[in-house]
Order: sequence, then C-alpha cells, then structure tokens
Amino acid sequence: MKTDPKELKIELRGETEVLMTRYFAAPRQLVFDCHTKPDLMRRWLIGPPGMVLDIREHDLKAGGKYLYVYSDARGNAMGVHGKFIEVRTPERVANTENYAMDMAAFDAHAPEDPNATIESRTFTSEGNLTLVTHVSKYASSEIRKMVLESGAADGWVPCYQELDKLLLEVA
Amino acid sequence: MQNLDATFAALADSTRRAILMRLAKGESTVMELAKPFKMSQPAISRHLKVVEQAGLVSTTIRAQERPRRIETAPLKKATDWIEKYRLMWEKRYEALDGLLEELQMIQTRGDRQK
Repeated sequence: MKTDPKELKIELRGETEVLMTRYFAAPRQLVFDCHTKPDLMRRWLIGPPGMVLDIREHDLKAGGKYLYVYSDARGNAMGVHGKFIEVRTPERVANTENYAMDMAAFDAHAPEDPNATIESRTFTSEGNLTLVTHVSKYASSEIRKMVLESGAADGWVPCYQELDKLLLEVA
Repeated sequence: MQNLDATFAALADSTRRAILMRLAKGESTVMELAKPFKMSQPAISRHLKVVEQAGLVSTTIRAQERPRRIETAPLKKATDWIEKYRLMWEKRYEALDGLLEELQMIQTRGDRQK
C-alpha cells in the first residue's frame, strides 16, 4: 500500500452519501466487536472533550433501538439515537442516526424523523487488515452539501465556510 | 431547542444565506431585505419563513415596524457540531487502533498459555 493505511479517507458517493474509509490492523471479527459491544464501544467512541459516553439502550438487531448519551460534569448532555436497520455479524451494521442536542427535551417515544441520516458500517478483510467503510446517507443532497461544502480538499469539513463568515460578521 | 437539520436545511440556499449575511450587519425590514434581490417581496418572505422556523431569525415588534433580527445561537451550535464531528472521528479511530492492539495482545497471550 502506497499511502498510510490508517489515513481517514472521505469521499462523496451519489447525491446524498458521504463515504469514510479507514483500515485497521486487526481481524474483522475484532473490529466488528469493537463497533458493536458496549464494553468495547465505550473505550473508543469518545465524544466531545470532557464528555463521557453512557450507552443507555443498545438492542443490536434489525428494528432494535439505541440511545447513546454523552454528558459532562456540568450537566450538559447530548444524545445520539435511532434504530438498527441491518445487523450482519461480522460484516455490516446499518442504523438511523438522530441527534438530541438537549436531552432534557428528549422523548424516547416520539416518532422518528423520516429524514434521519442513515449510517452504515461495512467490515471487509484485506490480508491482515480490516477495512471499515462508513457511509452516511443524508436526507437530501442539500443537507450533504451543507455538511461538506468546504471539506473537499482535506477530506472533511474543518468548518462550514458560509457559517464561519456569518459568525465572523456577528462577532 | 432548534434541531440541526432545520438549521442546515435553512442554510442550504444561497438566497437565505444572503439574507442572513445582511441581517448579520444589523436588523432590517422585509422591504429593505428584498431590495438587493431580483425577487418579489413574497418570494423573499417565503425564504424568511424558512429561516424563522429554523430559529435563525426573529421579529422585533416596534410601532409600525417589524424589523427582522438574526439569532446566532443555532448557528454556533451547527458549526460547533461539525468541528466536533470531524475531530471526533479522527480521535475515535486512533483510540480504536490502541484498543485493537491491546485486545490482540491479550488474545496472543491467552493463546500461548493454552
């Protein structure tokens, strides 16, 4: 391999998808376990600085729900939630993904946003390495554009340019 | 609390971004807002409605006027979120490298003891 295998590569696919690929130096089953077993997930799915992950719900099967909450000592809490769409050990996991920016207002029984982002991770063995292909499928090309606009050159959006300009003017 | 999808959807249009850029300079009435655009006032009002519903713009009620004002909190939330997201994945995957290494070492040691 010419390039650094551990480089995080990000590209666009079709109108609405963002593809993130990354190699890991471990067998596929192990990489899969790290993505799906709460004890292991907690070790690396780190959130914003100072926030710890609490896996409140994790029903790993098609149709099963999950709720991961990141919280800090000051009482800020932010949730990631949705349901699993596909679970194929050790090949693939797909789920919807929604963000609850304010956990105080979170309602676990509210109907899910039909425009939720669909996330999938596919695990492929390549020699001693495992390739993880992480696809985010956004509800529309506009939303994807927003997320990515300024990031084409270095892979991911360091910041959203228009928003930055706007914030500079406001500041 | 406004959600990020509404913020992103509202920002996904160049007219709406231009409206926000204009309001970032100070409050403005709908008529003033419509002036620089080759668009009817009702068309501008429709765009305004989208940014208002996303919580990005509010209306001040003052005598005969209804000037619009920009609300920055949802914008800050959106940029913070994106920046955190990118950094998060790079950091996460580095942490996962470490964890995988550790798990494999434990496995190798266990195999040797068998």
